[in-house]
Amino acid sequence: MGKYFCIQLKRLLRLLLPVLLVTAVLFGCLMVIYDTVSKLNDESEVTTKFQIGVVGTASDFYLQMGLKAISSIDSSRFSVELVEMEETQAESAMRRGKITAFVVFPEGFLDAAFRGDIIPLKFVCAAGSVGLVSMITDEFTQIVETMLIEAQRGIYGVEDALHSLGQSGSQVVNDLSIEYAEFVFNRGRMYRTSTLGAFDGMGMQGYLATGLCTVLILLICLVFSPMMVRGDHALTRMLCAQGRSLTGLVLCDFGVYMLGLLGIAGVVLAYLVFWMEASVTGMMLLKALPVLLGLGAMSFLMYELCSNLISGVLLQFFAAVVLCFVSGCIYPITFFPEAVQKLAAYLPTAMAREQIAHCILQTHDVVNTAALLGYGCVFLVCGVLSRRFKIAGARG
Amino acid sequence: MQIEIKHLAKNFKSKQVLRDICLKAESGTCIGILGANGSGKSTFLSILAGIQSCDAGSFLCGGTDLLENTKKRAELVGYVPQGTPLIEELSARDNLRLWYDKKAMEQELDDGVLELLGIGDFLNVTVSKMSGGMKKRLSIGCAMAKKPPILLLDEPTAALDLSCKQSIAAYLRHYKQSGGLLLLTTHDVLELELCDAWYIIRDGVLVPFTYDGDLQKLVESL
Repeated sequence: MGKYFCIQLKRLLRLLLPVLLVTAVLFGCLMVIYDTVSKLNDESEVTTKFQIGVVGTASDFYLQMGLKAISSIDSSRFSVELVEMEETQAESAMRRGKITAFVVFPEGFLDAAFRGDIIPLKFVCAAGSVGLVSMITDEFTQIVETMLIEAQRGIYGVEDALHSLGQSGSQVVNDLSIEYAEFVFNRGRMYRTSTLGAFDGMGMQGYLATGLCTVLILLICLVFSPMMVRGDHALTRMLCAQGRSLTGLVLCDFGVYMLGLLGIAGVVLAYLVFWMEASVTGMMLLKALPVLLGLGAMSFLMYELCSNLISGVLLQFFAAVVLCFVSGCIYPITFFPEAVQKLAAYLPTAMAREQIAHCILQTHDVVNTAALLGYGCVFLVCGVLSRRFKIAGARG
Repeated sequence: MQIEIKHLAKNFKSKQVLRDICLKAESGTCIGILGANGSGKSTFLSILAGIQSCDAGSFLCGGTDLLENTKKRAELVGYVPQGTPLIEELSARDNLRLWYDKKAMEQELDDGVLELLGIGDFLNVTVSKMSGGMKKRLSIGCAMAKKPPILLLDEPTAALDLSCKQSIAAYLRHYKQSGGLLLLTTHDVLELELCDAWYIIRDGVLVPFTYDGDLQKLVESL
């Protein structure tokens, strides 16, 4: 069996250079994606505001004052900005994507409000919002809509009630209004709490890095296709006829494959440590091993199931993309429906991403590590069974 | 040396591929197994090579059931499957090293089976750059590493040109004359001429057949 292992190792060494080159290209591409998304994320967190157009307030001194007050007490004003404009301007701006939505204060709104009548505000946002950004935007604009309507109702309703009782409650009304507006607007802390939960406490960039690491590992597995896809298993058949153990042969193949993966991972790591001055400890490397084992075994099983190069490459690629997407490696998992989130938690790719997060955060999760190793063992056993079925179950 | 295959049977779920295969053969002979596609020829050889299990039967050689005795079977039986049992990225020399010790390989290349197969001519050529004939010769060379007295060949010259077929047939003839026992499955006339006895697998049973060069009769028998 040693001879077979050495021969396979020699074969691996022959393929290592092209594998390294392709890995370098993949790594470069993922770094560019990471850099771009990180910058976008930074910009969106710091400078981007959801701009809401406000129409019909230009001629009304009190409304303008109210808007200024809202702006100054809005704790989430870093993400919402109210911009006064004409209705035609607002429509045009929304069509061009300059503003997210706009609110129209109908004429006589304030006079009616003073009388205790509330004329509904007209709230306009883009139809057919299907993307994630639109979902967030809708949420923001709904909050603003609610805030504007309810704040106005609250303020003028109380004012009207006090007035009908022959009392002047301007101070109370003002206090209530401010308190109410603070309540409506003070959602920044809630938003932050949700963000922390979404990204495993490591921020968007860290989350993205762990996800892309998982994608990279699976794509590196794909690069080994020319070595791993076996057409007719004639060599295995002949070796078995010579009395070699089929399980031993499969384990040798897997061992060589893992060495290849470790070698490539080592090169990528060396690049991160020496060129990008990343801090890597021995414990982090130890924790990363189950990731390579779990994902490597999964990829190995897929190679065992394929009978030609094209099907091998396609299966690896689509499995990598789909599993990474569903596991939240490409897109944050918290943006998926709850059912998908629950399912994703059991996927090896999600576990691998989580394990990488533990490596970076230097935390522990024994259950996750054990599950990943368990997955690795199950995939390996399935790989042996698949080969056995192909060799012993073939009809001719 | 004599081999005797007794009442060999193999089922794939509900389908009985081999029902009652019985065969006797002496060393220095070549047995040709014919049959339609899917009749069970390759399964038959796979069972004899120990790759697949059978549901019943025995493969006796010198009183030992080779289906039970893996070590003895590996010693006595060489097997060349269909396809290419070679590592495409490596040279012929590297492939041979999987089967031969370095010293034995050099010896065989100088004056032995590898020399007879003409492998020395392309020893350093990568398998992926070899012709079909070279690959087949190399495969046989690998299977002959332990100098087995029984050689099982699954369609050894399928998809090869006439010159390659002749060169492989010449080696097999030499193997037979030097006391080897050949058991081959084939669809090829040239290989049929090499055989001393012919059998057709029909309905899971080996049916003896006399080949006298009449192809029409052969086709009708299948």
